[in-house]
Amino acid sequence: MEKTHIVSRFDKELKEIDKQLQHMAELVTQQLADATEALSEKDVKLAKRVRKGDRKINDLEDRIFELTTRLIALRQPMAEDLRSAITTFRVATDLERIGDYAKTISNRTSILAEEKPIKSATNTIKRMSIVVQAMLGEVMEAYAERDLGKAEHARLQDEDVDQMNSALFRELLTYMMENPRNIEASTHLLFIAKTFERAGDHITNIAEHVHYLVTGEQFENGETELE
Amino acid sequence: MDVNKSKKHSEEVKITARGVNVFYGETHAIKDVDVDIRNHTVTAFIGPSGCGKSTFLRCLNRMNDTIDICRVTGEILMDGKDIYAPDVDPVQLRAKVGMVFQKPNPFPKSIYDNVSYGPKIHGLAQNKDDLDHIVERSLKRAALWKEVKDRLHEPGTGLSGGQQQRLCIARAIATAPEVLLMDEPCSALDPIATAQIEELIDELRKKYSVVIVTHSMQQAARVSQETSFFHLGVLVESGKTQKIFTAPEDERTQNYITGRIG
Repeated sequence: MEKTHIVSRFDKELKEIDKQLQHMAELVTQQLADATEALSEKDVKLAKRVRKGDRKINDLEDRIFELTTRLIALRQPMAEDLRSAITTFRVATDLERIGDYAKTISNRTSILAEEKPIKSATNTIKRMSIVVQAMLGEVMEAYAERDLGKAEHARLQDEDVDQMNSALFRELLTYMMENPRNIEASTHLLFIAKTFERAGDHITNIAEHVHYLVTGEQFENGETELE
Repeated sequence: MDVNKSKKHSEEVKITARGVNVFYGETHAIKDVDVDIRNHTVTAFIGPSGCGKSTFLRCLNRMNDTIDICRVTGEILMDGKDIYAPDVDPVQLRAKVGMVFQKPNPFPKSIYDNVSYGPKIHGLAQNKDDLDHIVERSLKRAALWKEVKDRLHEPGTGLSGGQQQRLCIARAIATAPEVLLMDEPCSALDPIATAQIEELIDELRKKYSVVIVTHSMQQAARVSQETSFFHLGVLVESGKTQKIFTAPEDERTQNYITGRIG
């Protein structure tokens, strides 16, 4: 795998696409971190910045599509190179979706800023966010290093995210029953938690793309996704 | 293992090669090759120059017999019968295993004579009508009939490169072969003529088993169902084309098809 192509431009182009993809992942991770901070600190300005920042991620996705399409058209990649090109497409799509989630979280943050805070729920969401960010970091490392072990490790952490989401759901349900005035804030928080849970699913997808990239076979999961 | 195996044609093994070795004098050109060639299947042989793919192809219709210093050992069975057995007439064998070469090489005769030559010497036609029929059918199958039907008695050498190659294919299929060997049949052709030949290869697959040697990996990927990768006289990897070009098993195959320095 470390062998270089006879046509060195080919290597450069593949590297450039990988670089853009890693950059996209860094931006997405930052967006998640910022969205979470804006939420817990009721920082409406930061939330607004996150909303604006999504544009950059979408542009990067377009850029990666363009570079990959050009690579396929002009270089006709084969085998590992072909899988790499296809995987780039798929990973970029998942990253873009996670980016969208950061944006929707920020939309809700602006509304939540007006409400009475529900401290413990916010803390759970913060924890979810940290796990999701760590998963994303790990899965992108797995992608860069073609490391199946890391991909699998990242994938398995999704269970923690799912569990936190279910726990939070029960907790917020209690709050809502206690006092109907908690319902609006709780509903927004539920949606936000759900968003992190979805982000975790997309990271799971990326881990599965890495599996395909490395082995040439589609990842087969015994258990099926619940939603 | 053949999950996408087509139900339309029977794809049983037509030619079985086991432990094939070829020597040119002292040079050991082919080392212990085992391969199966299936019916109704296009098998592509790929590999860098000098890897032995053409040499091996030429074993399949005993073209190497014509080279004095060449020695072939091992077993090549067609329909279970050893093609190197003493009672096999190589000329008869070559009527059953046709060949198309890199450069179109029509005889310096008319288009008609080019195609009718094989059937004539093998006594496949009873009379002139029969022969006319074979010529027309072969040219049609080679997708050349429409272009030449009004000038069958003009010289074959007057055709364009792509037409000449299709003429050679018509000539090769006129003797009703069961296997068609093609040694880089498109390397001297432009992209349009290449596309026509590739379309034709796909068509020919319905009737014959086709083995093609090609330097163009894209071509191998486009036309074949099975691919064998040769390197330094060794058959490195053999399998479904789709698998070889998306996820080859052997690192040498991977390096070759992705264009990495091997």
